[in-house]
Amino acid sequence: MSWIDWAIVVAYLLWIVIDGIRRSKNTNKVEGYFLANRSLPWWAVGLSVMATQISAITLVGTTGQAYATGLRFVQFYFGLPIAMVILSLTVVPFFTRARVYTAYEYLERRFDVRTRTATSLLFLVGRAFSLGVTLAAPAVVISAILGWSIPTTVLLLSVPMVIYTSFGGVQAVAWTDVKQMAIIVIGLFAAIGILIFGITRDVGFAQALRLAGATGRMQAIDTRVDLTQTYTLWSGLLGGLFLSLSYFGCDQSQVQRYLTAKSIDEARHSLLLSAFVKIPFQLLILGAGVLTFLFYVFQTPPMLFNRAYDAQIAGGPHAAEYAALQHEFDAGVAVRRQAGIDENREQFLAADRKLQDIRARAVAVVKEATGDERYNDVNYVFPTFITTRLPVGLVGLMIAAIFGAAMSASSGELSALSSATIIDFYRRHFVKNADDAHYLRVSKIATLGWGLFACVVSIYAANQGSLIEVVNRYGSFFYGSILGVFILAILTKRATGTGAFWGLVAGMVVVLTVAFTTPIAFLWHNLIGAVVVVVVGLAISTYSR
Amino acid sequence: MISPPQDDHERDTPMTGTYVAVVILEATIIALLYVLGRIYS
Repeated sequence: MSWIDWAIVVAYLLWIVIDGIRRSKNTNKVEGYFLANRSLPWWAVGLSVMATQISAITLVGTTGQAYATGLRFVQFYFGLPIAMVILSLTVVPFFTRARVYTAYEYLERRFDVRTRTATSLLFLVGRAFSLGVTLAAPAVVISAILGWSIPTTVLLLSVPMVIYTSFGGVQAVAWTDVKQMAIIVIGLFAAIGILIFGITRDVGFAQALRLAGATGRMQAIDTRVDLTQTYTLWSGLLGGLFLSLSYFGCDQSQVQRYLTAKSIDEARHSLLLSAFVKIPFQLLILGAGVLTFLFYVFQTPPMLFNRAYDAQIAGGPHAAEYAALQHEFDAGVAVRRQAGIDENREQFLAADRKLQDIRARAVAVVKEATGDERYNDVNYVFPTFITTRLPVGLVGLMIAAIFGAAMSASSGELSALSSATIIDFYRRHFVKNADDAHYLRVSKIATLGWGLFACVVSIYAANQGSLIEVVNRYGSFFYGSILGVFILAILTKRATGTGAFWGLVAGMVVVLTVAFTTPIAFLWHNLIGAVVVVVVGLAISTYSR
Repeated sequence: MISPPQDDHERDTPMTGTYVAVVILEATIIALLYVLGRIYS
């Protein structure tokens, strides 16, 4: 990277931190710190909600996934718009009128302190570890691409974010999210422009899309009814609906966002922004991945995008084997490129299959040579394109966008962890009658404390690839069950505190059993968890009256 | 007599048209993606 790119990244980080600290002037009370005095406009809240969902891994992982398999991941989001409509009709007016600080606060009013504490604790445990992973996963990729150590990368990602979140509270989080969202969108459009320019130097755009279609990458919709398939139209619509209902309706990191809105209407508008924009935006990210595939059909790609072990392999016993694969790969790339230009479908597909086979063999060589069984190439596709193919200035902008995505995804979680800790535990169980200044002071300490915890977890997790997978895969175990508790609270009058509590326990036991003993895809776990909690909760409520 | 102003925070207007627009947009996107997949297969 040139000094201009570095200057852009540094200037961006400084701008984010300074502006975040400037926002602390309006947060001299707990309500200002955690809820921005319920004063934010809908568009700022809506962009903040969207920015929180776009982590750095969304940018680099989703594009890599689309490079490898195409657009089908978009189905994951099909339940989101419907969920936003349902939440706008139910939860949003409910929480706003209740004037709560956390979603779980309401559960004590409706049920009892036991149910509130249990759900808030589940949120804290799940979020605390996922926050570490939200920082660790991009740190692994950025450190490999830029040649930094993992602790350095984690600290560069997390220190600015912890500073502006601790000082400025949710107001700083929301306004920095708006800026980060703008940088992400500008960077993405610029990258897509460069990709299309690179592709259309050799073929027309329609011909390029036909080539992507020939490899199956334009197939976004899978109508099969198969519970073991992770991404289908039905798992997206139904499983995704319950996941979105739970995430946006019961997760403090999202609920806290729309509690900052000026009114019920503004809170609704903020969620409906995602309902309109989320799927097109996700298609934009996935489209960038498909275009990256097409770009590398006509511009020579590296055999493997993750070059972390290049030097080790070149100097080791597998050097000759790896060099032979590279030679074979270069010849295959030329054949595929010519077949693409001639639009010879059969030859193009045969050459593409051969290249995939060579890449798989190269990955096997890397794993054998290094002993790194978790070696991953997909997440490095888009960052490699950014750092090697974009012009000076744009590289800095895109790296800043990846930093911004990592920070915006984690700052909201950090603020939510702090609010749940102080409101649901500290003020509820330990120090009940202190003044506002005291609670504000400990809130800032809690934010700093959780930030420190996240740094430690992320440095540890970054060196334990399997831990990242575990947290990502199992972190959503509780979502459906927590949603079930809120359904009991808001939509039924019969449910009791005892029913809700034991329903929650039953939901988690069933979801864990299903996850570990059946091949049912994880999106369905949300639906199963919610249904079990509601059924068991209502049954116990009936018999415990 | 002037009635007290409604609390702005409680402003809650029906948005049925917006909800219908969300559903129509989603159905259109899914249909377009399905057709796109068929055309470019």
